[in-house]
Amino acid sequence: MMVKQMGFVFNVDLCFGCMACEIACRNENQTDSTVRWRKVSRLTDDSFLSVSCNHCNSPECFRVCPENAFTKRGDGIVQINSDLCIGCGLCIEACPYGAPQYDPLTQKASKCQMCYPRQDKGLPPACVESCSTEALTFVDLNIFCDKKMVGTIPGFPDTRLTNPSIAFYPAIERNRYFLKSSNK
Amino acid sequence: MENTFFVPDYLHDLLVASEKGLKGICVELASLLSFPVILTDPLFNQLATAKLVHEVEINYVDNQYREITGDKPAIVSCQLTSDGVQKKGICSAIILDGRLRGYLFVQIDEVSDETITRIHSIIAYASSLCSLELRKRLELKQERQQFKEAFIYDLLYGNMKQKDEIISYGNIWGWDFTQSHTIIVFSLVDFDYYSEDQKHIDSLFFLIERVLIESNLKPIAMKKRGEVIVIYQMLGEEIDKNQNVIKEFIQRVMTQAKMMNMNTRIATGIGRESTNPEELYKSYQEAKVAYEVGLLLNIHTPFFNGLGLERILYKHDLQDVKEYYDHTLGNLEKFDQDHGGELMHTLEFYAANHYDVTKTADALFLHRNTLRYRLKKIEEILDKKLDDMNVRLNITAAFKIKQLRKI
Amino acid sequence: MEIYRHACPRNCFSTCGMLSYIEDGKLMKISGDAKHGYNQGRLCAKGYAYTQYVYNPYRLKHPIRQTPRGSGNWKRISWEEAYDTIADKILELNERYGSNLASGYNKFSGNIGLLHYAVEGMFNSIGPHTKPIGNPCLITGERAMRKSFGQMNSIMPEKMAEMNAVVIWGANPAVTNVHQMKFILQARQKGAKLIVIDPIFTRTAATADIYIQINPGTDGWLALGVAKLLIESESYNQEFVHNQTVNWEEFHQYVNEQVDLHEVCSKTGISFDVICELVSIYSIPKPCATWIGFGTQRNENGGQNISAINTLALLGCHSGKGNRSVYYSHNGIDDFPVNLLNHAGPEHPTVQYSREININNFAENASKLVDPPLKFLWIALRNPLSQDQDFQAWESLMKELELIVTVDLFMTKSAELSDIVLPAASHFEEMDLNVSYWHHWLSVNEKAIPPYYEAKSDLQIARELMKKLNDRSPGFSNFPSERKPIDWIREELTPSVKKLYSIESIDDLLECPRLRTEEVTKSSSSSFKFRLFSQGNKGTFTNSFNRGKSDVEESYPFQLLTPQSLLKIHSQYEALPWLNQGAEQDVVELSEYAAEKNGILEGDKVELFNQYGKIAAIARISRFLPQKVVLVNQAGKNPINRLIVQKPQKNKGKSSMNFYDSSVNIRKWCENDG
Repeated sequence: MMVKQMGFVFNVDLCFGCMACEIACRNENQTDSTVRWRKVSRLTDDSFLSVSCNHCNSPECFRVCPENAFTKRGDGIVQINSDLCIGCGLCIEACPYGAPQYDPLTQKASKCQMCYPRQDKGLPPACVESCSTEALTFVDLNIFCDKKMVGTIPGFPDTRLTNPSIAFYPAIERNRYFLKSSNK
Repeated sequence: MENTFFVPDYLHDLLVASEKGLKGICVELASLLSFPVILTDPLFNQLATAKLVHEVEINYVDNQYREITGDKPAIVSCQLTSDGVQKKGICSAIILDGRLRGYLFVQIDEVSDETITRIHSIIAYASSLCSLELRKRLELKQERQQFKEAFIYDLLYGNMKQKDEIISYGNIWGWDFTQSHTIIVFSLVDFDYYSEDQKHIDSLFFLIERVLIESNLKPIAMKKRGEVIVIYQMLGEEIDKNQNVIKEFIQRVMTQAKMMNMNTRIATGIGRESTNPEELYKSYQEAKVAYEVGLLLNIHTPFFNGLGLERILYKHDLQDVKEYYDHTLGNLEKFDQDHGGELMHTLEFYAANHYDVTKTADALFLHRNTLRYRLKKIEEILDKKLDDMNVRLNITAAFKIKQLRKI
Repeated sequence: MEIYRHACPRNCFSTCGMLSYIEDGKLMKISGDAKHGYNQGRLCAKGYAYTQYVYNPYRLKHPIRQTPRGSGNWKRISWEEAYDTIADKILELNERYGSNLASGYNKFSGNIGLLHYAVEGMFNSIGPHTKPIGNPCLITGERAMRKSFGQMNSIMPEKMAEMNAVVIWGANPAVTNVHQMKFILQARQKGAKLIVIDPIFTRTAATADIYIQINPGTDGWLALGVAKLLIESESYNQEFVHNQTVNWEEFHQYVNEQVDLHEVCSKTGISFDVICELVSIYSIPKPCATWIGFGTQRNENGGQNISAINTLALLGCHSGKGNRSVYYSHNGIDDFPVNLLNHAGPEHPTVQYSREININNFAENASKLVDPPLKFLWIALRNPLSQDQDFQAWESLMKELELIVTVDLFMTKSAELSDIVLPAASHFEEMDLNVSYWHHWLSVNEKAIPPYYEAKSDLQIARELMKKLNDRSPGFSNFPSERKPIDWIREELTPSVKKLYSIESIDDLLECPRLRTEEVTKSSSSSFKFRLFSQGNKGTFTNSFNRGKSDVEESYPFQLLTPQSLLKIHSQYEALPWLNQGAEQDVVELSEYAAEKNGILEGDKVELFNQYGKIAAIARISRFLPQKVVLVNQAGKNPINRLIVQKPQKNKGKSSMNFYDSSVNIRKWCENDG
């Protein structure tokens, strides 16, 4: 077995917030309406961010779980074993990215598992497949590297604690000409 | 069918003997030929021998071996020394996947060229058997190595939930997980994938293994992107002593790393000792926190155990921590900005010197009265009494937040 | 798991190929069809939510009837009973008035599959009746395109990926045509510039390399200004304009004499430097896509705006290539016989034609009908009480009607005011054939699951209802009820269609969607001469928003723009929880100026009002809106179109609805007047 660290790569410049990834995730996993494994949000600079579980190198969820319900697969995917989860919510509190979600139906925490059943069949995660501009991709971060890639972007939570397996391409600058009568 | 296919008994015997590995092949070949047989690696280190009366040294092999083209070995002559006497020999290279993996030597003393010709093909056959055997060993080694990495990974991420399972797996490599262990992380600061850093990690890993072996420990270590993780077996039970053992170990690693000009790039962090191998993953996470905090606070060998308030402040919600800082020191910071003062600096030294006026004055090269005047000013601005324990606690904590670069 | 092939039938540019995954007759999940060259295996958020659309607790299961109308006192009835009631009414009206002119329908684009023309086919089959004509959406622009270029077709939109620049005028593909974005961004990654011109700082605008904010409805001014500068700098293909256009001299003179750049700047609100930046884009002699959004023609100047932009595109980039890279819409359906739409009904001894009324003023015009008045209305594939204008006219029309039947999947605002509501099938429950009004792909839509409870397709309803009529009164309808969906589809695949799409039979489409052959037009050698912008008989532009201080202007100083939102198409998808997270209340976006002027803070409950009514909404203050623009998305619990009332159009169905020529005022909400 080769130890991998599969991780998402998010290109801010190519995302326009269409939400396909978020709903494709729901379509694939048929999650409850209140459970959002992946979330698209608008940042203050009017760019978008799509975030799910980042399958961290040092997952906080996993450190705080009293039932030791989390595991990290050899490919880096952090999984929660719902048989062991007692729904205490500590992981939900601890995660800086809001990845674990409380499922009111099962009364347990659940989260993105990077579509490992799809990956095991050689398919990309549903969110990655759905991204029409390839703003969201996934790679083995242990071996993939690109000089233009950065570890974080403004608006993304502090990465120091958990060392998330996500990398970014930042937005390219743009020219915007607003009406003088408009406020900006 | 017109041909009769005849397999000579000796071939069959050689094949059966190969079940017993290189040694088996050696012994069988030696008994077939009645000559001593020696198997070596490419550097002539002996792997197996048979029928040797004295120690044998390999002196010289005919040059043509340097150019190996196919998998089919040729037989060449060579010179050996046995008990100080030069002897003649013949030799076949052992070739695997086009690479030289070793040699098969037969010490023949004085025999006719005719005899030599007659035994050529059996030697070539034996050498092929040896190469198959070496392939098996190589694969096994690679497999075990990968398996080992997976096992360490599972330990570091708490993927194995059964203590017994961990202990029995550990036994495969001679690791004793009934003993307590501590995780030590070594990391290259500002690791850059597109540089020699990848090689530096390899060297670091190699030297850590060596240091561990020198300390009579079976190395349990693994490389990850930018870091080497060591699962360090603790022999004693007293924490203080154990900490010294770890400090010494890290010192030895750093000394060696210095010879390779890497020491300034390496930072470390140490988790808490754990007697339960299922919970080693906690020690790993702690080691990484200690590493981060150590970097921020300039602690040389940061033990998670040794971190106090920092541990809490590091993890606490950023916004909340910021508010706390502003609440405690905000007014003073603003005053300094507006008036270009140095009161923050003064207070920081005062806190660092345990709120001791004399020590602080010395550290700041100030007259004590000047310092007293400044402290009074600070009390006015903050509207707090600096001799109050609670105020002091808040101020100390606020400066720690500043140091932790959260502000 | 079984997999079926579908085409998304929504009124959307993309008409995506999709696959359904079926287990035990149940739709488990959806994916994009990787064999569809336009959406390339992806869907939009709405597409991925279809499981919630099909199995939605609010979906209509059975035919229902309410008495009295609007009471909410619904009772489940059988299909038989529904058909009987409807047949009774049609036959009785026929007897009362001697023709079927008292019976009519209002139908539009809820499902743009070809077999949904069953509604028209059904009414055609009973002879002359009352029918809507025209198109609220895009016809103004279509006419302007035909006038400039003689035809509609552009090169396939996938080719935008190869352009040197993409200039988007008033379209917002990031919301309404998600799959086009990848081609645009591919071009960008190869170094092309994306320029977006829009009064609203849309999501598309946010991705643009250059965003130019413009006063609403003044796109034509900008285009003429840029054209003038191109001509002055001689950055255009002179041979082309002399030989291939009908009115170069006239246009040249017009631009010279009447287009004043100071005026352009003041009308559009764009500074001269920025206009020059656009000039430099259009001066580069490399392929440039010009995409004209429907938004530019939702106002009185619509046709003129588009004509001016067309002219700029003809001059710009030294193109001399006609309209091949000017994008507006694609008339894929023109290749097909559309047999249901064009079904010829029986002749009537005295009434020669059906009675046609402009769909844009349907309610108002229908109420005025006499001899006979309209008495029976069939509403299908549309929710006029959310997406049409002038709700008051609708409410008064409905009072005059004796029977209103609505076919829908959900209880819409219009269904709430009907007598009988019939449950419609989703596209997973019926067969269909789909072309796009944007890309050039043809798809077949398979039936994958049994109908949800008693739901039926529009075609199935037409077949059964017409059979019922004929049982009651033999020969009343000539609808071929025995013809199955697949038969209708086969009839659409004429020899010329098969050749155009390189198919032998429907089986090829079941294998994968097919691309229309790109016809080779040599416009440089063709005899067609392009028409450049001309003043027309209206004189110059009228600008409804600088038209002087009328009373209306004083009382309702804000222009109301009402585009589609990302996760809905009008009121479709409103009932899907995945797509309606935390969207409890309708939202109005207003400028900081408007907020300040009216003492409104972010999150305040406000009231939007004009002479036609008022609606409540939560205020969102936008840094980027023009001062005098107020923005509310389509649909919602209290549809914004209540405040939109347009003057009757005189040109029978030849222009789109000028939805954006609406003015409102805004104030803080007071509980006691609510």
